[in-house]
Amino acid sequence: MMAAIPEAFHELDSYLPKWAIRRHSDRIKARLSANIEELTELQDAVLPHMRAIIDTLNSYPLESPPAELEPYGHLVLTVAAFDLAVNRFRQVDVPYSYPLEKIIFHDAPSASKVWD
Amino acid sequence: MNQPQVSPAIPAAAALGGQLPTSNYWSQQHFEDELEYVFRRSWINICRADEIAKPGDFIVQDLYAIGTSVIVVRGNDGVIRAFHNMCTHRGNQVEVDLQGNKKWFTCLFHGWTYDHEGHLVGLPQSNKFSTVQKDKGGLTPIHVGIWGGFVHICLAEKPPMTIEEFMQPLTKQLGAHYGDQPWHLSLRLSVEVNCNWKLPYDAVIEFYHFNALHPKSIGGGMSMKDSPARLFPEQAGVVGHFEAFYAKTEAYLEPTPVQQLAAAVGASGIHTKSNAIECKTRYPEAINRNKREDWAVDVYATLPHVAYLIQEQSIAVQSSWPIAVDRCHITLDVWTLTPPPRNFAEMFNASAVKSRTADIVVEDFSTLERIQNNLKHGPVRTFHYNADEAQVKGLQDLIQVWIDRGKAATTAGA
Repeated sequence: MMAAIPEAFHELDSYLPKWAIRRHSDRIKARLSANIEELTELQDAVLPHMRAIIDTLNSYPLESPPAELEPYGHLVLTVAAFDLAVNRFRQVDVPYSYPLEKIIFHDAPSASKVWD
Repeated sequence: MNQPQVSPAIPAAAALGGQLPTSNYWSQQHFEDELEYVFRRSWINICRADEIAKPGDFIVQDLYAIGTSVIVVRGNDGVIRAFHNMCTHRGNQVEVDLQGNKKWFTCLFHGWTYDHEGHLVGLPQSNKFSTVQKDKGGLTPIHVGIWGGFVHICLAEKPPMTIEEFMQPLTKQLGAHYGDQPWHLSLRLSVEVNCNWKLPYDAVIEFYHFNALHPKSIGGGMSMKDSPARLFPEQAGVVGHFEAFYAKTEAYLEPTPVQQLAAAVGASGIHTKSNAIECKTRYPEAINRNKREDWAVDVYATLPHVAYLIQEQSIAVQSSWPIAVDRCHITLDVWTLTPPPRNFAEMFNASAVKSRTADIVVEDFSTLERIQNNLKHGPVRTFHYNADEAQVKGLQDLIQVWIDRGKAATTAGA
């Protein structure tokens, strides 16, 4: 049986193809190749729904979310990856910093198979 | 020559600072001395014992300029051993996987095979060798010492001190806090940078740089306040210690909506307090020695190259591996007492922490290659360290003590 997607989540559907990104390293690449206006628009759209998405996904086992809800989870995690860029730096990369794309993220042994 | 005027108002703690020559960061000779007299004689943190929990579990760690790579393996008898990862046949790396569980280690070159105790247990066509004695052909062992659950190796033929003596300035309770609790790895980052190995180490063992380098990431939420750094006597492998506190400094920025949401569902990383998941240490006497309500973190610098940033439910371990005088490999592991994410909210928190940590790390690393490039031809030949930077100077002073002692011992034995 398919999980019911709260109606309000559908407001975010247009963002899913580009921003429901599964891997953290891919989110960083997407962040660095976007512009800040795009990231800001994304956050502004997702933020009002973030708690509801988290609470909805919380009602399912972490490793087996309903397939139709999973993209919204990746969308929330993508917005988290852009937090300081949008809310503090006001630019896609970290100002004056060492290149973020050179950082290698390693999977921990307990890493989720679904989320990153 | 005019002498600088030193204000009598400078506190005595300023004496913990001082100045050092920049050549410590670019001299090939000094680099070679560090490798020979410090790295190859210190206890080097490789992994946590519970990363190789089962018989046959192993980790391979490249030692870069320090030496070969090392295989650390838990044997069938439960004992953790370490060996040079160098086939005694013709020198190939025996094990090329970085981690796993194997019954044997088999060299891909000619199939020489070793067991977990390093014994050579198989070599094809052994009857065609006139110089190999199988019972003497095992992997070369390396000394292993475990402190606080961290597996260390010492490359010296005879370690100059035990691991306990090496870590001696740290309390037994801190060792228990590290070693006797169910830490899990929540984050691992790595990067190679064109700079001397000490520069990224310096970056995390002083918080003097916070307001200047992290104005928008840490956002004025932490400071060393009135707690000076302390340096330990030079008899062992621990440089010193300082604490930092949650503090709304003049640079304070309110948490972002994402940070507020992440904090509501779990620990938000080193720079913000945890609200949701309580995970008290069993050894509160090990940390926050003055039991301050606003305490955030204890920071310890140890030889040769590992900094520990300790909070109640997390330990960040940064290692800075020398590749060349001006290149290094950096790893940052964050171990937490909070369990792996059990639901999506905790997953969200962990992911937010990962992203924020990386943003802060690249701020810390922004100076590394810029400094190293300046060192090649720049006119500044002396660096200055204030009291808050005492561990940065203290690290190099302790390194020099080990170099001087090592050279003296070598000369005496000659």
